[in-house]
Amino acid sequence: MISRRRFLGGVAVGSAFASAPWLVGCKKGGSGEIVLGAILGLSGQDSSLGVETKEGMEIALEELNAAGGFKGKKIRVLYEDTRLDPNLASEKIQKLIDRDRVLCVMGDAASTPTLSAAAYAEKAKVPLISGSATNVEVTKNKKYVFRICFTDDKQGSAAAKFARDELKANKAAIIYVTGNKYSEGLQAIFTRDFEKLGGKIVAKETFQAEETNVLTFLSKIKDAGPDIIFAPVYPSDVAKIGPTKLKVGLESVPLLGTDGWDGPATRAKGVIESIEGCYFTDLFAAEGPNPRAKPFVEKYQKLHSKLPSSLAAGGYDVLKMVIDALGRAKAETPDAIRDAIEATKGFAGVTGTFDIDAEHNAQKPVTVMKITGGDFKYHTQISV
Amino acid sequence: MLAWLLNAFAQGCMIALIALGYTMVYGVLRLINFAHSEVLMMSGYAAFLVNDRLLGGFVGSGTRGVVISTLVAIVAAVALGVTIEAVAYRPLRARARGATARIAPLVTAIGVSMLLQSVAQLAFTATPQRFDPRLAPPAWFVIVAAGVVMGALYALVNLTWMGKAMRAVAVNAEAARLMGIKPARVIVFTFAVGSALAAIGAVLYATTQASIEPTMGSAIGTLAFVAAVVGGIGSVPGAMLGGVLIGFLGELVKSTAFSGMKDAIVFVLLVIVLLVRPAGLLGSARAEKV
Repeated sequence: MISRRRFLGGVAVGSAFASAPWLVGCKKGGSGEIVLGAILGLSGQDSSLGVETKEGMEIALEELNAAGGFKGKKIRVLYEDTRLDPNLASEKIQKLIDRDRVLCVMGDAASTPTLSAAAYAEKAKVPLISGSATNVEVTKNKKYVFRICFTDDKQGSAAAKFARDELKANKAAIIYVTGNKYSEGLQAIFTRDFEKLGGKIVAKETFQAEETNVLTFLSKIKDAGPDIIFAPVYPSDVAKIGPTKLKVGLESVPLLGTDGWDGPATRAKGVIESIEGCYFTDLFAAEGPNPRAKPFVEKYQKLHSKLPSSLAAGGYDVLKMVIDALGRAKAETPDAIRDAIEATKGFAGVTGTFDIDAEHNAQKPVTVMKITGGDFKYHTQISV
Repeated sequence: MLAWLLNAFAQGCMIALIALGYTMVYGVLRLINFAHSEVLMMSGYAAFLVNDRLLGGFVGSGTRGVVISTLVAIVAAVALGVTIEAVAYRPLRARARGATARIAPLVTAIGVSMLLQSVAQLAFTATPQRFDPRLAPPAWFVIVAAGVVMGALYALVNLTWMGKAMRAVAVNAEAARLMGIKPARVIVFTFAVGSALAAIGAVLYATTQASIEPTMGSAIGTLAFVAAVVGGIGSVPGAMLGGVLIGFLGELVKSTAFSGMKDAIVFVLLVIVLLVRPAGLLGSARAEKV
């Protein structure tokens, strides 16, 4: 047994080491390095959203630093894990801003944690920019919060249009997650637009995020006899809904998902087979029509031996755009970067060429993916 | 309707299997074994790792793979449950006196639970793992399997010498010792049986629906613990009844328009049950002899 004194000594040394990166980050941040922060859900249920975003950012970072960094300064990104938890997200953004004094924070990958972090970004006057938080509320009436993706308003409208015009659906059912801003927001917009286009919502089922058994919900949907099922959910939910859909005998009714589907849990054995022929709207398609995406797709494929998801592409574009804005900024301060991000026009990224509009969103066409032969395949693009 | 009933019943059976572990240990030791949920989680991992990593190219990971990995999970759970008892609870039982005799093991149980959760997070990462959903057994199989296991448990408790010894220790450990029963041996046996049931519950749960992750124990374990209390903690049929009740209530709420508030509604109903019957549905209201 170690003596108490030695144990305490160990704790002191340990904590000194633990705080060392903080000292480095603080000192160098001012002089030789550009220090940016990223809050991302890197662990937990839907960690793939954050992990893939980080993978995209890392490729952008490597390219930027290989090309000499920013005006000769090395660019560094400090990552903080939020587990996509809103409480953790606001805690971690405080850490990055107050402790590490970052110029700008990127993330989160999903809407709920981004919304909660946004409040602190506003208070601290440091820009926060997400590659994939699509909920309408995220940037609404906020001075310092941006995103480089479309909003759910647009995504939900595109999904409704696609369901009516291309799938010729008259009756739609909806299954969504309670208490999740993304899921609830999308279902409301889809309902509004699908009915506006003359369709009918025949069933609406909602479940808690921790729910493990969705059989009851899908049986009820089956009884309603819909032509399609709209499912604005995350990969871990697709892994529950897909196989259960087969179990209750809804093989012939396709699911229509949203960009939250894009992740490894959706591609898992037994899950991907169960959603063959289903569709989802997305921000990016690796095989899409944008020629600028090609070098990025190849680089990503070589590193991770799979095609990049919309999250990886979003992560790549966010970092590239922040550095682009920094180049146009009058000074290396959060406020100057904020002004430069707001003024972004015609930024040519791998997810498309876009402007930051007055509402701090980027308008891009909505991509529709189809699950074909056990893979996500580019299907079409919709402009709303 | 039949599919719904089967599904709700299967859900309840899985919770009941896990609830039995809590109630049996409480019966003999008057200890809430909070580490039980972590035994469940670890056995889920054991089954998954064997099925996914070892059996994949060896005997194939189909149904046979699930059976083999279930057996491995049972062995792993029994080993872990018995080890926890020997390392964390037995030394305290021998030394703690007076008021601490109750509290100290309880605190240790919480500590062991946290320790195992952190170990699992280090060893397996926090990323959830999933069985291939095509391996999921149908609801009737879950019910039959749980029924057979619970029937065997009923026979064990009521018809065998060991079962009689367990009941004797539960009533009065001191008197049982005077009758020639070794309480220590009975306690180890109880932990082993409870852990084995948890392993079966974990495999059924993980293959039919849930993903396996370090925190799965607290999610399912809480439900099972509540089932044991509502059924009347210490009572074996009570745990079965409590589990099935929670499963049914959950599915019932899910088929209403209030499915988004499932947990809130279910737990309010259970609080009402406890207000009416504080000792649980089948629990004895007799004052405990301390």
